Amino acid sequence: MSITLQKIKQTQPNLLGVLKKKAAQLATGLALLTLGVWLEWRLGDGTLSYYLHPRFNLLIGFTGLIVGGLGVWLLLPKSRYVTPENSPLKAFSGITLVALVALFGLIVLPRPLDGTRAALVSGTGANSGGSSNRALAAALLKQDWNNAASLDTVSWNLLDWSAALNDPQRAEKLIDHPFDVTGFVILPVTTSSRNFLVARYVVVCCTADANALRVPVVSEKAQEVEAGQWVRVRGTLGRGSNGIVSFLANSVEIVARPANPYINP
Amino acid sequence: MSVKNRAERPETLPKPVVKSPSLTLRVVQVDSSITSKATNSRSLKLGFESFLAVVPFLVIFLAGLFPWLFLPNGATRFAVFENIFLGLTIEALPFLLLGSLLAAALASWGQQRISRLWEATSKNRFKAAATGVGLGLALPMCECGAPSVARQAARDGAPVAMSLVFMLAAPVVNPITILVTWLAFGGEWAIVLGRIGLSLGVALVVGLFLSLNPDTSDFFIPEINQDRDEHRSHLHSHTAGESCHQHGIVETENSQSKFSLFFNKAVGEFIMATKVALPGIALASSFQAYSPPGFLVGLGQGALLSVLILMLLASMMSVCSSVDAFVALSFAGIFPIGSVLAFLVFGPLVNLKSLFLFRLVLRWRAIGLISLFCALLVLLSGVFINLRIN
Repeated sequence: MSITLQKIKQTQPNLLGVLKKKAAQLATGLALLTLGVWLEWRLGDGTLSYYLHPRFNLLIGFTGLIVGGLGVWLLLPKSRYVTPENSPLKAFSGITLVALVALFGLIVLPRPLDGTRAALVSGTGANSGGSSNRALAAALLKQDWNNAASLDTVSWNLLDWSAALNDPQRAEKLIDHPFDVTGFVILPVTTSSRNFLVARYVVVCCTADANALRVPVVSEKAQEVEAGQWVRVRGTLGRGSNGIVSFLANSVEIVARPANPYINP
Repeated sequence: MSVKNRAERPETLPKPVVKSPSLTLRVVQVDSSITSKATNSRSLKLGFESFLAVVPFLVIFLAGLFPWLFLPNGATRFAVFENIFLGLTIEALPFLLLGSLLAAALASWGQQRISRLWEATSKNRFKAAATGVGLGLALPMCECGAPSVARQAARDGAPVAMSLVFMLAAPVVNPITILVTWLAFGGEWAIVLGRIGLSLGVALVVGLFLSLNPDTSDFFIPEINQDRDEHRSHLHSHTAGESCHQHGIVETENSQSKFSLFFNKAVGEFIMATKVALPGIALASSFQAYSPPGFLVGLGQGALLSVLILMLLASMMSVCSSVDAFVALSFAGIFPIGSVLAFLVFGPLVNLKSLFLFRLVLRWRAIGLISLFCALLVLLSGVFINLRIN
């Protein structure tokens, strides 16, 4: 064996180096291809919305295609790739990291943010405990609050209601108006038999900026729901026994999680 | 060996063990000593390189898994970390790719012309800074893509002022960020102009001040300094019409090799930028997942404290500059306007993602200096606005 190796080294002094470069090129190609496949897969099965605002879908689609295309180019026999890193170890760590992230994204079951983070915020009122979407909601929606009778509150989602309820005068005008919202359940720490919170995350860009909107619900069925469950709540706006403006629900229906679990303004 | 040479022999070299008059034997013994020192030095270098190669993995592991093991509800919080980590990564990838493609295009097709531009601007740091601003206004780069472009520019000989100003200003003064800021704040030009003005001011002051140091090796990483030196000597030896065969650049009509070079560069830059960005993304995700929501926001108000808190929040959240205006909007009703502007300005300048991405271009001590200067300038500006204008 050692004689064979010596002969190879004599006739092809750079063979080992060439083989190493080829192996690195193949590994890089596979890593990029895996990354591209991951992005396209998440876009295709609709779970990209668990991470990002849908406005980025086209951009992610193109990115996946280009990255995957670069990976395919590297896998072609005629292509030549030379890493810009001056150390093989650094080059290896870069390829490995990209490959691991892509594999992690592919293997891990995509799931949206759940109620655990929202439940950490204290308080039982709408958007209480430091949640800070008042200005965001009001600025984005620009509803005409002056003529409360003309507002189609049944079509409002939790973002619309948050903007409305953040101002006490507006909230007062909306008493007895109907609502129909879908969100997940948060059970407050100090529970009564009739109260829970209905919540939903607002995601402007990606889940890093996710903010939970919460509105208290008063319902006879509060004991039947569990934390994290998705519910559709219908009724009219009113005041609970504690005087806090709340949804007075006459219907609480357990539903499946929506395809896009966030509100994306 | 002559008496003179023996006297000049350094003390650290071992004396020959065998007292033979043979010169060859003494030279062999001295050589073996030097060889073992060289071997030790290579081992140390290899060890250090191995450590550097492993650092990104360590950071991600510690940021993600360590709190899971030691915090209450660690498993459920890890699910939040995983979601935010993947979300930030997916969000960053298009911009990392865009920066890599632009850098590769500059290297493959525009290198000669661009190099002459850098040479022309290097004589005057104000011109260099203005060029950096111009590039930032023209290119739709956020903090993920700008370092790759700045890296290529620096390697081609761009002056320090231009590279720094571009890297710091581009995330905010680009057309997309300006438009989104205007939209988010309902056409409020005071906020838009305040953000642009403050960001430009900070970038220009920091870039011009640091460019007073003529030694670029204090700022750029060694690979870039080496490329700059090679590039400088290469340009000076180049005469008009002469084809260039150094660095793989072939000034021929062979467009296929240029495409090959372009793809090579794009892949290399993309891998490097992604590798560098991921630890910062992991740290930002860890902060979001493992710290109680809103705990920073609830810490306090006031002209000074609110500025500090929002600056810290901006740098920890690491939200992309093209959309952070919507996040800042949610603070507009709670914090004074100087603090909100501090969030909008400091976040794109210095955040967990960009600190690591700056490593594509700058040494750690340069990054530390820049972070410190930016923090001081933004803090002073934010407090001033809160006290005087708010």
